[in-house]
Amino acid sequence: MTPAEQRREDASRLEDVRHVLHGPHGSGAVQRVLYAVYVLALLAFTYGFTVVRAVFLTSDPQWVRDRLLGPATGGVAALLVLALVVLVRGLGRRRGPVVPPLPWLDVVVVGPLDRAATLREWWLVSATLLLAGSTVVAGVVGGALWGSHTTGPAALLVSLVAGPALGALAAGAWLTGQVGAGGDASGDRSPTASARGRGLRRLSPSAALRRLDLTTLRAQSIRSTRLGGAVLAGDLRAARLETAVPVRRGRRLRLRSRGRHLTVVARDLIGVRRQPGLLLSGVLLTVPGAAGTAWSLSDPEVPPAFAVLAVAATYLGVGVWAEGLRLLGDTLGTPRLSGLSVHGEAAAHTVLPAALLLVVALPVGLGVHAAVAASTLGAAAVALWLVGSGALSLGGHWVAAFRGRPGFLAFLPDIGPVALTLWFARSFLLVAVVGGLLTTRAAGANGFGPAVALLVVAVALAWTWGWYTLRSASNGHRV
Amino acid sequence: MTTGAAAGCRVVAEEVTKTLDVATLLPPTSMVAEPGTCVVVRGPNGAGKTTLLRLVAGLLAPTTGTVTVDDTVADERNRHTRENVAALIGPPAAYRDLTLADHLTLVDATWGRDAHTCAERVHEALAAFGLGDLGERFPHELSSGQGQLFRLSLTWFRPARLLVLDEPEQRLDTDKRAMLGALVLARRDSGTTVLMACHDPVLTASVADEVVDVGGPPR
Repeated sequence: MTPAEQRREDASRLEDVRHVLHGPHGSGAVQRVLYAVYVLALLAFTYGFTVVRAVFLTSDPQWVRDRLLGPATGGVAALLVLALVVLVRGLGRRRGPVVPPLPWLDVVVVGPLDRAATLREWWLVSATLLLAGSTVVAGVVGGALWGSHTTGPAALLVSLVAGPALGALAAGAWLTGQVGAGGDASGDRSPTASARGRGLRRLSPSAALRRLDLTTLRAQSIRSTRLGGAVLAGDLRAARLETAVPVRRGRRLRLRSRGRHLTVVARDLIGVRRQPGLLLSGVLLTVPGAAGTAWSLSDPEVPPAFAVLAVAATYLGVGVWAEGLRLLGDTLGTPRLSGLSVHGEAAAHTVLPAALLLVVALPVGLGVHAAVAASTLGAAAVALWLVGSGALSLGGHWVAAFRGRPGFLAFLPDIGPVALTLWFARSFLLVAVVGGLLTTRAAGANGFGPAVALLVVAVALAWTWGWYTLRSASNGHRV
Repeated sequence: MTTGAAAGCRVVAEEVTKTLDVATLLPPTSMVAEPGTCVVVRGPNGAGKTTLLRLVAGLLAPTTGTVTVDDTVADERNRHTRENVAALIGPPAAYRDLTLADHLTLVDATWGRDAHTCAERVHEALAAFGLGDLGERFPHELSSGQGQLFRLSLTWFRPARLLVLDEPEQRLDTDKRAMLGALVLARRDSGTTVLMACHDPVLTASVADEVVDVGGPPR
């Protein structure tokens, strides 16, 4: 049988399989994707464009233009693209773009049909969503830049080229990551691979699909199902366990007894040493976060949105280091093994992220402050602010770590998804928005004193909320 | 091996029930566990054994009746209950980034024990459960039986005057069940009160000073 005949034969048999499973209309996956893209585009251009345009309108157009066309823009963009590729590739190792349901894998993919043909539908769905999503987002940003008269129409054209290109790059990295998860030991299984030679053809999506092994596909399918269930049920512990990479490093490191609270701190430290990726991820988020916060403080012309993003990055970075708090949250409701009170243990788990935050954020923030000539605030004021906004982030993490399960609103059919999303993101959003806006306020003329007072209030509220959230979570299971 | 305080707790459940909406999780049940004795709770699946244990551990509030531990209402929010009751009711959440030895070290430290002799206690405790060679493993690297032994060792390790165990024999082979029986007896003989649900008649016969049948006598 020639390769062409083989392909036709495979296509015909796959068509039969789909007919048996879904009837004459097929699975409808493509139609669903197109509908999702349609809704995404509609929402993006209706609401997204309006909001992003408003952000640019409230910013100094000259300031934005200078940054977009500045000498550092290319380097920053290259770094961001590199980070995106690394991140997406890593994601592919845990959950790639090709995740068919388990029965399809066990019944169809396991058979003799061309693997690329049996998996192509899921690849196309993921790749299309990524391409469409990146195009829409880029279009919104480019359109908003033009619509706010910050730049000319060239911004839209550049966005509409860069967006899909970035999407395609991300899709390729995602698939490569998934292939890498299986060790890629199987080689190209194309029936005609030896005749055609490998070379560039190995880079094609079909070749990558053929290199996906069943063990990886099954593991990712099961994980994906569990993860989806965990997210929908608001079970964050299960979601984290599904996404986490098993720890095997630092086996010979020893946790030593150092007293009741210090041993808990040492536990967190040993956790970070065994997962250096966590330490690095936290640094990669906290450094730009602290730099952005210090820049916003030192230069009153920085747009508020930038400050919000900076505080958000710091919050996420500290969150990566606050694994101990989340692990404590996981144990609430089970018989206590620890001899500490839950609040005492939570306080001990806060020490490491707080210390890392100080060690990383202060030098970075003070360095940026020194580099910004326009600053009217002193270094001590910037340091004080970084400590305060860090305390706000940590308070938010207490709320996030001990929030328990979502309320009944998250399970109602109409408002459920929105309620669940808000439940997931409420402390993050509050910290980012409040922290970012207060940072902008602090940078304004004569604004530092009142902003500090407001920040103190915000920190006190966040910690009080976190304290009561922990108390409520530790007692809530007793019904 | 660390066994906690010498004198065990006295546990009294009086006509205790638990219902959720229309579902009866535990029909009216009474029992007494005297200090330093081992009481085994038996009953078919769904009879309410685990619910009774959760009530004794103070993790649930009874719908009617009372459960007291040393004349104090069982409620894990009370320091008294937490200090005295160690319970294995469902798997405790383990730290995925700590080895077995690290887990025991952490528990040891939080109870304020002597830091200088901690390593010896940890080694002894793991060895007692047949895990002496696995101290450097992470929890996700254990078989299901080893995982159960690890959970038992954690529960055993913290100080307690009352041990509450829900089917501790599950996932264990015959030899390990015999080992568990010996450990329960040793703990009881050291003065700790043991209350456990069990489906294994051999283990029950070897450790029980008294048997409580929940949901009627065994069929």
